[in-house]
Amino acid sequence: MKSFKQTIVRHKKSIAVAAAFLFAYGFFQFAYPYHLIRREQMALFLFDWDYIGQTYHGTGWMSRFVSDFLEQFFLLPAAGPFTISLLLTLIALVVYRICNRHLSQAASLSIAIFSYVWCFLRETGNLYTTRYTLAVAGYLFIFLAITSIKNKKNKPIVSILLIVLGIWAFGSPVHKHYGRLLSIPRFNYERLIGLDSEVTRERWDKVLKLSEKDLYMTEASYCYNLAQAMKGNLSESLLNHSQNGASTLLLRISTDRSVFSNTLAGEAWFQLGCMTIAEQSAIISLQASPNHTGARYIKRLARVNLISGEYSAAQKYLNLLTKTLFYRKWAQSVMPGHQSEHTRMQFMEASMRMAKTDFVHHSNETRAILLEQIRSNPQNIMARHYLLCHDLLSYDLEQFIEDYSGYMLKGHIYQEAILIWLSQHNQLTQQNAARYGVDNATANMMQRFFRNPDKYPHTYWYYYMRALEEEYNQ
Amino acid sequence: MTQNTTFRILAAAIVVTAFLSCSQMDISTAVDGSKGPLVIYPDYKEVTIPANIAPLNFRYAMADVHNARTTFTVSGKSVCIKGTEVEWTIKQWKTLMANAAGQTVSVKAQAVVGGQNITDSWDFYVSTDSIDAYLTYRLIEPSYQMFNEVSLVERCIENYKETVICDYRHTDNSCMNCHIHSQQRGDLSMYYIRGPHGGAILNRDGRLRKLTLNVKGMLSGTVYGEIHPSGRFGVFSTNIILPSFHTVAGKRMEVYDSASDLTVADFDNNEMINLPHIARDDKFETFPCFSADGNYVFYCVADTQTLPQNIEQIHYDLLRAGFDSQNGHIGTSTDTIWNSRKNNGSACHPKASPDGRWLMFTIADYGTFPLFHTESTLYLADLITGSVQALDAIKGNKSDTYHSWSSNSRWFVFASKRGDGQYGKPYFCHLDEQGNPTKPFVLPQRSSRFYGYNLKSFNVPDLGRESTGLTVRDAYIMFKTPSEPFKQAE
Repeated sequence: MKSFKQTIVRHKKSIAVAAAFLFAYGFFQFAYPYHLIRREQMALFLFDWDYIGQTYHGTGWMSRFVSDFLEQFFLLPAAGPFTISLLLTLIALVVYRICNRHLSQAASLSIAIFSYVWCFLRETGNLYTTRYTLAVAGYLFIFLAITSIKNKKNKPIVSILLIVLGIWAFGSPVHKHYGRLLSIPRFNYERLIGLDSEVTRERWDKVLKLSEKDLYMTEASYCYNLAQAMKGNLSESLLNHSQNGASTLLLRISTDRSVFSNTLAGEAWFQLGCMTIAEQSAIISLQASPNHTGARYIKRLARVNLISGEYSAAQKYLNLLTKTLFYRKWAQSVMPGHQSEHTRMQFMEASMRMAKTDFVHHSNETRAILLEQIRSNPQNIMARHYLLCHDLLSYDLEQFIEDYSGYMLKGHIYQEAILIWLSQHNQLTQQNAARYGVDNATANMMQRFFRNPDKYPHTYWYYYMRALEEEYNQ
Repeated sequence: MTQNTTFRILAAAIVVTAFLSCSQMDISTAVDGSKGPLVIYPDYKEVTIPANIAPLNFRYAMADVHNARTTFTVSGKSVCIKGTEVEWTIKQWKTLMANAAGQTVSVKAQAVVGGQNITDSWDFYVSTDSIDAYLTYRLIEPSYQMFNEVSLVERCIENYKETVICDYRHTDNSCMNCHIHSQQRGDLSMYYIRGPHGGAILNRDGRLRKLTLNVKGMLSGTVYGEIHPSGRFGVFSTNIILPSFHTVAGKRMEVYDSASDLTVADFDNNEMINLPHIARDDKFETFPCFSADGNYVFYCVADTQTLPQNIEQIHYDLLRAGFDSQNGHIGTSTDTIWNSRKNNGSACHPKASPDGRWLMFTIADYGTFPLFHTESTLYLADLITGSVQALDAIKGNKSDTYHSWSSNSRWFVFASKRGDGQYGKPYFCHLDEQGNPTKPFVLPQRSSRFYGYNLKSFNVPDLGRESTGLTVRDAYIMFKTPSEPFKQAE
């Protein structure tokens, strides 16, 4: 026991360093994984000397250059947490070394821990900004260099030179974009950007899992609905959670919505085949990303234009992606003229979902857009489900019956809605119900529902009844 | 191994990786390259250029191209540039151009493409007409409904010098609208800063003022317009502008006015002159501009429609009305320069040439926002003979809009989305005395790869004879300055 204690005392510095590294790594790898992934999606690093020369100049060029270079690796599993942990540990080490020249070991360690915690927390409330962590590390190295100068005569001049060099390379040490002075992790925000990341990666099971806790939020509910739709379960699962009207089905793109919402809005429209709205969403997101670039959005723009047959535009975006480390292969594989048969078929299938006849609309005209998608491609089942669910969540049973009658899709909420409509029109007979594909079991369940509605919270009857109650109370 | 050594090895590895990656990854091809055995981008083959333009840098935009040699010859002088990126120094180019005006520069090129020796040759003609040296534009992503970090830039097109006139950093990330010169004068121009601290920034004789060009009863603040040659008046449209989408992908966006009128601002008396005949409820009036002598106003007008449902039925005529430069009144009688019903199209963005001879405008199938209309074409009206011609010879495969004249009326610039269809770029074109245009060429950039990685549109390029001298500091001061109110003229 004594020797163990001695070992700990002897290696306390190394243990502190390892602990600092592992803590940060564990946090970003397991508790906060999506913050760094999102950084990667919003950045773009091109391996092109000319681009590098034109992009990284002026004050702060080095911190911008190195952070963009490092952030591209955040796409790889564990690379982001590893890099950030390394930087944070480095900051703690340098602070310790500076302090230890003048203060006791314990005081130096305390200050180092404080600096580590401060740097750690500073950006966690928002999206983690590697650039500023790099700038802090850079300035600390400069400070270390200044305190290491032994020649007193030259010290003022060399110090000034080093500070000027620091400002040139890392930017001003006081900058309004350095994030808050102190913030704390926001785990619900982390889950939301996680949802966004998983939606764009089309990992629908993960989307469903991540959305569980936040289904009361419009964005989470929207992602849940999209994931269920992609898995072919929209009609069966729509009322498994409380829906806030039809607004959780498709988000509109608008100046009064957040960038996050406008970015997310493009995802469902993209899957439904509405490429103009998907393209606008990607351009708006590109506008809002730190350097007005962002690999995720450029990839989306490339896909949208490949599907739309706008090959010149697609080629522009693909040319950019061929100069990246991690999107190069994909870009080459989908480049017009170089696609495999399989890839070509995939894009062709996606283009089949696009509208064929033109009309001008605002993105909030959900019903009209969906109808056009269906008119152009009657086999667009996803659009049909979205249309029917839109009718139901808007309590518009007349429209629902009209839309449903032409192409009867399976789904218990559809059957439940039909029974309401039939009863509203005094046509509730077994024969009529059967005509609309309603089975006996559902009809029997409706009778049980009226006896004890709270036992059936996931039915359309319950959703509709609550709306009537609210209307009555008002 | 010491820590220092490890650090050095790591740093070296990163630099080597970056270098190798940069060298190996250039496999991209051009979106809109030239014709011929050797494809170059930008396409500067067989173009007519002014002698005072910046070097025409280009690259061989082909996969697996090496060992390129390009030789330029004029008046017995030759310059050979080796490499696939043909990029000049300003001095080298200016020396070649010194006595080239009125002559043809012949270019001979050879390169190894895919292991084969390929040769090519082409010419370009150096006009004796020079072009105005300054070009202003707004750099913006092509979303046209939201903005973030927008800037207005003045570029000296004789070299690559860019001066930011106004940007988001100095205006609290406000939106801003494009800078326009009057009569290509550097000391008579205007731009807008939008938002609560915004206003129209008028540059008259080099003195800046921030103006609120809006009074009760107007639809909105002023939007499109031009300053009278005297500098006293400005003619503007007021528009309720709504962005919308097409369902068919390639058509992208449509922006339309749900209402629009014309108005005149009197900058001397801080008055807005609103007259009923140019603010009719049953008409959409927009895109006004002055004739070269300031005696007329040209503008576009259409019957109101239910929009956006009937967007394809909205067709703007191009009219001319007299302008009284004593009181700022637009006359009630009009001439039709271009009739939309007869010609089955819609006119927008008219601009009169400084010599008074021509009126250039854009024609699209319908509407008032031709930026994504691939059919949009520049038209030229001869104001002496009354004839109108479509400039089909210079039509790109995407939209051509927003033109501006050089002060000698021999050159014009326009924004074209040719190629990628998404990002507008300034193209220059020479026009001879008979109104014949030459093949347009894109604004030269220091880097021949610039347009490949540029993700912003050059919005509303506008030529100026001299620099405006405006800076972001001026914009900042104006942003902080209270705006001068205007009142309704009696």
